Formats: sequence, structure tokens, C-alpha cells
Amino acid sequence: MSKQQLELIQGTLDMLILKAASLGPLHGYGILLRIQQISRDRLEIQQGSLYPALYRLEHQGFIASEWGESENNRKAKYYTLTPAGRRRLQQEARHWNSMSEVIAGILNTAPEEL
Amino acid sequence: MTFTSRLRSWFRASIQRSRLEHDMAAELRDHMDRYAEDLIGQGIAPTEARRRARIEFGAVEARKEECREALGLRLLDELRADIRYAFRMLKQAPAFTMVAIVSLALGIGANTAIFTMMETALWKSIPVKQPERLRLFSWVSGPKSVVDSSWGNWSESGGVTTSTSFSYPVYQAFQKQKVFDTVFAFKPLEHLTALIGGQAELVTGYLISGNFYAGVGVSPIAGRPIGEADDTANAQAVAVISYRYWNRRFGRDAAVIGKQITLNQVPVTIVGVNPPDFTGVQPGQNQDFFMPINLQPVLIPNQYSDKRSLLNDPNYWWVLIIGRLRPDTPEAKVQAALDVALIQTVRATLPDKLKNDMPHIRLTTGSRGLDDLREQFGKPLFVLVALAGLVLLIACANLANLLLARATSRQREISVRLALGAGRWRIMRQMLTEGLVLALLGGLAGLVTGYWAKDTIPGLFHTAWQPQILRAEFDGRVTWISLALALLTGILFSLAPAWQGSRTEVSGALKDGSRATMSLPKLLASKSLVVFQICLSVGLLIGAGLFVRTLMNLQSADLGFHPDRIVLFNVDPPLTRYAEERRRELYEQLEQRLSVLPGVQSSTLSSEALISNSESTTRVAPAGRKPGPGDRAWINEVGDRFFETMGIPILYGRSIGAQDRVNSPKVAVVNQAFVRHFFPNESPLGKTFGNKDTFQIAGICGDAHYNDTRTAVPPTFYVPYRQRKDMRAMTFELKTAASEGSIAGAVREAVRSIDKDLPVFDIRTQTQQIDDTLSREKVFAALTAGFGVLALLLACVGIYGMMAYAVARRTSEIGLRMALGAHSRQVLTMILRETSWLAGIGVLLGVLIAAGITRFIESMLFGLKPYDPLTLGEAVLVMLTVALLAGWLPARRASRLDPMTALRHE
Repeated sequence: MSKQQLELIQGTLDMLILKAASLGPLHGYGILLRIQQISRDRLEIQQGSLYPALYRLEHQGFIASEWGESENNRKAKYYTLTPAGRRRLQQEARHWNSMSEVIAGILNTAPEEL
Repeated sequence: MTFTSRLRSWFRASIQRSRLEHDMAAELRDHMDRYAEDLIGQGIAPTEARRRARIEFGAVEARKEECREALGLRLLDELRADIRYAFRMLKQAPAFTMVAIVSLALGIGANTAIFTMMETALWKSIPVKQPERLRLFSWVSGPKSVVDSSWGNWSESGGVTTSTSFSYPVYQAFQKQKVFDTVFAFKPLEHLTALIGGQAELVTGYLISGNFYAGVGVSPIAGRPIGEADDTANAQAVAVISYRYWNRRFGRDAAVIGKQITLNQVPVTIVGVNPPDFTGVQPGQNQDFFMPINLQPVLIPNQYSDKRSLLNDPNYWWVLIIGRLRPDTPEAKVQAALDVALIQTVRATLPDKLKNDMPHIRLTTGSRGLDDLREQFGKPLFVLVALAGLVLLIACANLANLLLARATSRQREISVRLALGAGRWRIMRQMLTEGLVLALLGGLAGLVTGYWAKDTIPGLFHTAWQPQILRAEFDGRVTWISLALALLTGILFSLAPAWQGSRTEVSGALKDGSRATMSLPKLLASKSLVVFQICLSVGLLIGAGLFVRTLMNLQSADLGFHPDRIVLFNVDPPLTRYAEERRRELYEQLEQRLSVLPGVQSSTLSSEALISNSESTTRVAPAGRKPGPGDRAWINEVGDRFFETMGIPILYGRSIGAQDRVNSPKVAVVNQAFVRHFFPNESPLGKTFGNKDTFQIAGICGDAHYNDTRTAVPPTFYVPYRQRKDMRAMTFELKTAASEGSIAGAVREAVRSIDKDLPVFDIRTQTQQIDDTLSREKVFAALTAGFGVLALLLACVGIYGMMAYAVARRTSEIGLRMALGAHSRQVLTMILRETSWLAGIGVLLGVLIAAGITRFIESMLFGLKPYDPLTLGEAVLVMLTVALLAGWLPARRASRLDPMTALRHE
């Protein structure tokens, strides 16, 4: 892996999982792959840390899980976004966007603008 | 939203736990497999790929634990582990566990048994529809009330008159007010003579208004209820019977509906049977017959008024009323409307009473109907539950002490746990869990004990010659309260050990030598607990002593008559058959017939049985003077040979005898208290006294107690029953040579030979009669003595345990002392001195506290003061003796230690 990987900012994994699941039902490994695919492998995610997050989100009712068949008759647990999860994702995305805007604005401030 | 989903997910996870674990493992394994496959696809060797997958995934078990925590399962898992551990610990120390569970079982069982009684006597609603909407009517007025004659509850105190009895015209006026859903009337009847299939017996009943069944919302299980159409002047006489009576008298025969029977000579048709749980509107009562109130003139014609009917008599107040509130009408409005109706009716029907104090309506809760139990049992039960609570508190202190000792010996274990990273809160939680497990086990054992003992207290209150009516109720409420109490106890007794455990130092206890010495605060804690226990036990012992001596004083009180070998029984001839002349003839016949029964030395009759908590008083004064406010005298209407039979001495003049005919001059025999009150300075013989009727004093008898043994002998006069106009139900007294059992059959036979339809009831001895008035004192004496012994036992265990532990801890110190030359007697004294110090402080505190508290029970005592020195002395002596005995065993063990072994002990 030649590209430099970024460490995930605390608390953003949940949002990423919700986003990944919003694109269609996926199993845990699939979610990991999708996040890495979208981010073009630029995010470093501890593989094991995915599952406590998944269990927590399901516990809170934002995603639902179901065992289903995957390719070549293997069973896998598929996660889908619930309506509550969809609302949560929108809310978090809004929050994130405004936050990054504010922070970017601060960082881009040149001395003469003050 | 997320709360409910969390709850649902938590429940699913905790209930399907094994499936969750299986799924979780499968899911994580699947992840690693897929990753490994992808790596293989990239050309990495399979073994290396699997190794990399495992490494990059991280610690599987730690992740699983995080997942479980995310599901909120961690607390549950820890709790489960704690409980398993607690059980293991309990199994490891079976002696401790047994002592703990037995003492808790006794403490909680005692409380549970009293709760079952409280449920019946104080809490449980009558079994009707929506009892909380019922209101019982009563009225209050100033001292000069408009009511002349009444039948029912009546109280006068502090210038306020209160009663629950109303006249029937007032009830009718209330019914016209449309502020209630229903307003129904009822009247309990004690003695009705039923004649069924040629067999006469005494039954109880209710007169009820036609809307009664609609009002209580109860439907009979067979036949039909009594309705409005039955409660009219010319309707056919009908009755609904209770389930109990149906069962007892008719063997639950369905053919009872439509059966005609005779009640007080009136033919009555049975039309229905009540459901088993509906026993009427008085808690603790179970009336047999329910009949329309319009039957009153024929069933129980009024003998005190010219009119036989009470239904149109505004002067006679006797009807009890309950109303069912409407949901939409506020209670204040209801009360105002009723007040207006009451005063209007009184003005209209009692025109000569306009200047008297007008009555006002009081609505009280009707969820327990007409409740006499609360007044009768409220205070006694409160005292009993307080005492039972004390016992439980002692058991609690005991357990706390034992647990404290155990916690000290577990210091190493706790240090190890702390060293391995357990939090202090975690340690405390585990100690609490252990306590709660113990408490729950004890609570369950206590429930069983309480269930088993539930009939004890009603049994003690039970009148020997009557069927037991009062039943303890063991229901959900009692169960929950007892279990809650057990949990509370558990928290209480595990607090000290838990706190101490959490304060343990990591390093200190791990060092070996630390077991040799004992830190001062810990001993202080368990010493205070022992002192607390002794203090409470002394308090209980003092209470037990006071109640036992009260009972003894009452039982040995001089009655003024001789109760031995006297058999009593009652007859209540129905007025429908025996009015005036015929009643007197019946009594004379009975008197004669009974006096010649074999085995009867002497027989008589009286309107009041002695010492039966029943009295009849009247206002009198010496002739030529009007009775003042204090001029009250107690009256008893008696037969010939009354004084001889009862053994009351005639001091001057003559007794009442055959010469006192119906029409001869009216005479009376008075007692000394009467002479002291009414004729203090003169010779009373031949003097006359009275109010409306006047009596000439024919003799003076000794003072004999009248209605109870507690109060001083009241001024009493005895008159020949023959000379009274309105003769009442009578009690017959027979002085026998034989035992009670053999005479009962002869009595029944004798009465039957005169009237086969006249039931004889309440056959008992005079001694049983006296004992019955002491039932409350007996209950207190028995229970407090029992609690006292229990407390002593617990205190004994506590002292023994504490001292044995202290000696074990000090083994090496004692060995050292002995090696340096201490005699074994010196060691014995040293240990015993410690015990006596604790006992002394505890006893002193106990006596001080008892001195402060016992005045609340002063009114329950007889013949002694709450600070009775003899009782206090006895309690102190017993406690000190027991404490020293309990402390002696460990002290002796200490004194017999072999110094060499003791020194090598560590």
C-alpha cells in the first residue's frame, strides 16, 4: 500500500457505516470494502473495530440485520439502513458539512482578511 | 424511539443469548475468511493469508466483549457472574448460610404473618365493583343532637356526636337527590331464628334496599338478586343466601332456589345465592341472609316504639347508607346537596327538635364498607408490626456483623481482585449482590414461614365458642411487600461489609503478616452492631415483660364473683312469636326447667352476661332529685338466685327472689360502688331511686366487675327481669357440678322440650367468656414473648459470633500473654470483661430507649406503669445473663489455649 493512509477522526466511523449501508444491503466485510473503495483506500480502519460499531448502531435502531445467502451459498449477515438510520445519516452529514465548512473557513483565513 | 429499540434489542439479546453468541462468532469468522480469500486472490499463500487476516482483525475476544457491551449486556453478565459467585460462597460456608437464612426467615416470616392480618383488617377492599367510588354516610352534630333513639354505631366525645345510623325517611330523602349513581341502605342483623326442614338455628343477615345489588355491582352465582320490585310493602318475602351458608346448610344443592324456609316465623323464599367472595359490606363479616328492608315490620318488629314499623318512623335512626359516586359530580357538591336534604328532612319530620343541634353529612371512604376492624385492630397491629420490625432489625444487625467478619477474612481475596484491576464500585457491587442473594433466599423462606404462620394471629383473636370469621389474607400485595422488605433488609445488612470491602488497600492485605493484627475501626463497627442488637433486644424484652404482666394482672384480678364451673348460653326468642307476656312466661319456664337439670346446682338468667364487653347504662338519682351529668348507673336485669349462682355476696338486706312478682313493688339490689356514689352518707336500705321508673333498694351486694376486668367496678343495680316491661334476649347462667360438655346436650334438650324451634347459642363457660375479653392482651403477651425469645436467640448468636471471631483474631496475642505468665483465669476475665462492657452499654441504651417509647403503650397496660421496675430489672437480668453465657464459650476457649500452639498460630 503505497498511498498514505489517514487515521479516522474519532466518532466518524458510525457515519461512514451508515453511508455505506445506505447504498444497499451489505455484510460487515462488504461495508469495510465499500468504505475503502469510496475513499480510494485513503482511510485506515481497524478491521475489528467495525463490529462493535455495527452492534451499537443496530442496538440504537439505525441499521437492521438479517442473515442471508451470499455468493456460492455462503451465509452472511446483511445490514440495511432503517428509516431512523436514514434520518440520522442526513443529520450527521449536515452537521459534518457545516463543521468542515467552518473549520476550512478558519484555516483559509489570510492575515489581511482580519 | 431509540430507547424502545434499545430495550427491544437488549431483551432480544438477553433472552436469546446463546444464539447471539453463535451468530457473533460466525459473523467475525466470516469476515476473516473473506479477507483471507481476498488476500489469496492477490497471490498470497493460504497459511500466510489466514495469519495476516487474524492479525489485521485484532483481538477477537476483546472485540466480542465490546460488541456485548454495545448491546448493554455487560452489566447482566457481571451480575450473573456475581450471583453464581455468591451462591458458591454461600455453599462454602453452610453453617453461616443456615444461620443467616433461618434468622431472616424468622424475622421476615413474623412480619409477613402480621401483614396477612393487616391485609384483612386494614387494607383489603370489600369485594364489590369499583370499591373506590363508594362512600359511607355518617353524620356529625353538636352535643344536643336531634336523635333520641338509635341502633348502631354512636360516639360522643369532645362535644361532638357522630353516628352512621339514619332514619328511613332521611334515607328516602337522600335517594331523591340525584347526585349519586346509587344510594343504597342496609342493616346487619345478628340473631335471626331460621327454621329449615324442621330444624331451628340461629343465623345472621342483612336487610337491604332494593337497589343494593345494583349498588355493589354483584350478581348471584345462582338464581337472581333482590331487586326494586322485591322491596315494596306487599311483595312476597324473598332472600338471597351467602355461598358459605349454601355450602354449609344445603350442601350446594341447586334445588335451593325457590325453597321456602322460615325466618323469625316469617315464610321466606330463597331466590339466589351470592358468589363465594362476596361476604357483604363489612370486612371480616359473613352474613347468611340478604333480605329486602321492607320486611323489617314483620321480621324484626320494633318493640321500643308504638309503631311496629321503623320505615316511617323519623325518630328511630338505624339504617346504614352507602352511595356510589358519579364520575362527573365533585364530592363537595354531593356533600352540599346531601346536607341540604338532611336538614330539610329533619325539620319536616322532627318539628319538635328545631332548637337542637342540626346534623351534618360526612362522607367517608366506602371501599371497606362499614369497617369496624380498622378501629379494633389498627393500633394493636401497628404495635405488633413495629415489634416484628424490631426483630427483623436485630436479625439485620446480626447478619451485618457476620458478613463483616467474613469480609475481613476475605481481605486477601479482595486485595487480589483490586490488584488485578477491579474497581472499588465493582467490589462493592459484588458484596451487595451477595447480600441480596442471601436476603432473597431468606425472604423466600420467610414467605413460607409467614404463610405457614398466617392463621396464628387470627386464631389468637378468635372467640372460642364461635366459628372463626376473621381470616388472614395471603395475597399478591402481602407477597410483594414481604419481598421488598427482604430486599431492603439485604441492602441494609450488606452496606457495612460492602463499604469496608471497598476500602481495602491493595498492598496491605497482600502481605502475610497483616492477619495478625486487627485494625481498630473494624472491631468498632462490629462492636457497635452487637451493642445495637443488645439494645433492641432489651427493648423487646421490656415490652414482652410489660404485656405478659398485664395479662397476668388482668387474669388474677379480683372479679367480685366466682367464675368457676359456670356455663353460659343465650336465647333470643323472636318477637314475632314471643312478645311481652309470652316472653316472660318462656323465661320463667326455662328458668324452672333448667334448675332441675341433673348436675346443675343453681341456675339463673340476666340481660347482660358478666365480663362480655357489653353494657347497659341509664341515668338515675335518689328520689326527689334530678339526675346530674355524672349520675350514670349500670343496670342488669336478673333472675332469682342470680347472686347465689354467680357468687356475689349480699352484704345487707335481701337478694332478688320469688317474692318479687310482676306486679309487686319494683325493687333493686345495688352494689357498694352505687351506694358510695348515690348514698354516700346514709343507710340506703329501703330508699328509692330512679328516673322515669323508680326502684326501692332491697339489698346491697359486693362490688362485682360488670363488662370488663380493666375498669373500676361501676355503680351497678340489679332488678328482677320479671318487673321489666321490655324484656330482651337473655343469657342463662348455670352453676354446674359437671363439666361443660356434658351439660350442653342437656341444656339443648331442656330448651327443645319447651320450644323445639328456639335455638340455643353461644354455649360457653364463664371463664372462656372472661378470656375472650382478654384476647388482645393474650395476643400481645404471646407475640411479644415470642419476639423477645427470638431477639434473645439472635443476640446470643451475634455476641457469640463476634467474640469467637475476636478471640480467633487475637490467638497469637493471647498466646503471647500466656507465655509471659498470664493465668488462664486472667484470660477468661479479660475476654468476659469485654463482653460485659458491650452488654452493659447495650442494656443501658435499651432501657433508656424503652423508657422513652413505652409510654405509647401505657393505655394497653393494666396494673403496672410503663417503667415498672420489676419488669425492667427482669429484662436487664435476662439480657446480661444471656450475653455472658454467649460470651463465656469463646472466653473459655481462649483461656484453654496452649501458648505454644497459639504462638505458632500464624
